[in-house]
Amino acid sequence: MRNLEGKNNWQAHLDSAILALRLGMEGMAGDRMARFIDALAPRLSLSAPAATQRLNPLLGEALAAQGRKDFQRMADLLQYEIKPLLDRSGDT
Amino acid sequence: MKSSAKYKDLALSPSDHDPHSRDHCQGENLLEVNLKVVRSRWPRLAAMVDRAPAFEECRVTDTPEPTLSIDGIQLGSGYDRRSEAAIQASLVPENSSLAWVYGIGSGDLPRTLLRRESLRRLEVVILNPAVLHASFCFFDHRDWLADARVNLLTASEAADLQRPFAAVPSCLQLADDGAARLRDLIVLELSTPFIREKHGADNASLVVRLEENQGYCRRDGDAGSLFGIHRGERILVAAAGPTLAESFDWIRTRKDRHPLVAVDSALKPLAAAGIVPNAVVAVDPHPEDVLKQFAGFDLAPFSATPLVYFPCVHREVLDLWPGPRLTAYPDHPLYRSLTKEYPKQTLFSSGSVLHPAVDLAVGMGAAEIILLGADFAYPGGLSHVSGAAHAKAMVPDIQGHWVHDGSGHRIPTSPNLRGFLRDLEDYIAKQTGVRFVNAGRRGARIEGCSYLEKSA
Repeated sequence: MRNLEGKNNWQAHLDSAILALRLGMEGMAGDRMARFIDALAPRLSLSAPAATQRLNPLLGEALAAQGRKDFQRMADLLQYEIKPLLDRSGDT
Repeated sequence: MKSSAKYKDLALSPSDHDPHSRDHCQGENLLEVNLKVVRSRWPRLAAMVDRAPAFEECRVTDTPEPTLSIDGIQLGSGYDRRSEAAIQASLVPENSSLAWVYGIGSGDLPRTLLRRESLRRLEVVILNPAVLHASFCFFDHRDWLADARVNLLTASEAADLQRPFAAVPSCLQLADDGAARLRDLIVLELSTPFIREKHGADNASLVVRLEENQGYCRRDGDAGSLFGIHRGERILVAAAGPTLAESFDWIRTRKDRHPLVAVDSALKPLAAAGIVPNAVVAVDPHPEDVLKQFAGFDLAPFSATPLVYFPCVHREVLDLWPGPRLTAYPDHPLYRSLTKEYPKQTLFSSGSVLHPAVDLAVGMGAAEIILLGADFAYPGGLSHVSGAAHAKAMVPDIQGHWVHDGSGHRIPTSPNLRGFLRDLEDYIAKQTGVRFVNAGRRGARIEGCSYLEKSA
């Protein structure tokens, strides 16, 4: 149950961050992104090293996109690269 | 930006990214076929887009649905443009007959809205002709451009924010100088749900604070008692922007003739410069933040200076103040019962302490208000005037958020400061009989303000 709650939390924050980015709501996107990272951290410590290795560069790229205000690229990375990877690693 | 010939490769490169495009424009490049439609309906805009300079960096993304990346900003989704446009279009109520679209991007947002049968008119605002030029080179826009319901216009023709609207976020980032103010109004509006959410989270502690401070509201004076006491005069208003320090000498030589209203964050540096304001305004509900503004210097010189405060301010600050205390309220639902119980003056407030400080000066009867250190930006890479409790160096981020300074140059700022600036401009636009003057040009340009002559 705890794992499920954790999963739901990061998913909800991630979905909310993606939506805010698509709409141009920068403040909300930053807030949800921070919550997503916070919710993800404990999960990452339990993840297989291989999954973390694939995830880290993507997260780095997403944060770099955030830094240069490239919000649609950031949303793409979160929605189409990072989220499927996390979903897959959660199923294993 | 360079010559538009730089996009030649984009226009000529065969692509099947856009199902509307290739079948219908053989022998002509996309820029030309798009411009042909614009030329037939809005000839002046066609010339403007055609002449728009090219960006230094404009490349096609290596994504499942290729799009453009302009100066490091991706124009839209590189995976699913339609579903992204549907999300953006959701800001416009489904049955609306009118919609405004800010920024065009790949054209998917106007196209999505035009699929609605209920939509009778779509006003599409160009936020940067150079972005549209690049997009015209890569995407086929003819279908939506030719739709009789569409009106295309520039940011200068649509200066005020209109509703209902949807926006293309990348176009907000890439807005040109002429669209800066409109962009800020759009960003401010898009931020409103988050601002409300944050305030909602703060409300519980605020309710407790207001209850704690009821006794002060009962005992203390009314900020309204200062109204009308300087009718027809010039009043100085000191904010805590970095350029305030440049005005210390100017203030000293005029302080005896013109009253000075200061925001709390400017108090410490003013005190260090030996300047005692005629009134100080404090409205910050965060105890740690506001306490720092009043700590580390001698408050004794302010024993005759009234502190005008909102009762959200922590009581330690109220107890520290050696002078008279005068309560004021913002126009906010949480203050309604206090307003009824202990009626006091309401002052304009929209997030910045400068707002009620300026409103107080207007209420005092000012014919002219000189804004000092009202920078709404980070001139010189500083957050506040040196000596202010929260002064710190800011990392220049001109690629991010910016405003125009008084000389028309872009200077770094934050979304919050930009929002405060636009709200002050709205306030100024509503005032009659008061002249607003900005003391310096190094901070953000404030619409509705003239600039101070050195000899004034």
